[in-house]
Amino acid sequence: MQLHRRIDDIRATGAELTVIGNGTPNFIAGFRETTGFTGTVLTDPSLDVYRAAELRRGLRTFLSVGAAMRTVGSLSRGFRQGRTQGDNTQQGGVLVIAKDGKVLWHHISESPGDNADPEQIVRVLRAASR
Amino acid sequence: MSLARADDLAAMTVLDDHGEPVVVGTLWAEHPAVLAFVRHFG
Repeated sequence: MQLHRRIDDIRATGAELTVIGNGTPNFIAGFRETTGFTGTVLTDPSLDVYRAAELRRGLRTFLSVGAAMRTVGSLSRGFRQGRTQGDNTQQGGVLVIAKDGKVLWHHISESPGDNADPEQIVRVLRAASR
Repeated sequence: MSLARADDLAAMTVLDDHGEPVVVGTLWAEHPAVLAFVRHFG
């Protein structure tokens, strides 16, 4: 997760970063250990919130040329997938939400490795904080 | 497709690391929120 590296920039805008996963709650500690993220981590084992956030799920989401290329790239950088803690067919995404509930920015990952651009998120937050 | 508002998510609940429910809408009640949904925890 790259976004946590911009936590200071995010907080400087008055916003807060929350990570939401989909495994059982006992997986959260391992996630913190692996990533070093000390902020709020929650989980949605039912995937109801993922669905409401219109995030993608299913085998088709990781059977694409783009996904295969990103997988090769990750493997070449030494990344090795351990035992999956959550739903392996669920893709992620990012929502930036204002205090009034307005969605300021929405990234829906199309496949593995299709990650939100942290710089874009910080830009949106800075613009909203003016 | 992109959501314009998070109203549908606001009343939903997720779980903290103790398995306790957290109402999603509380995450942006006091300040803007960046919700990063990960594929899985590991």
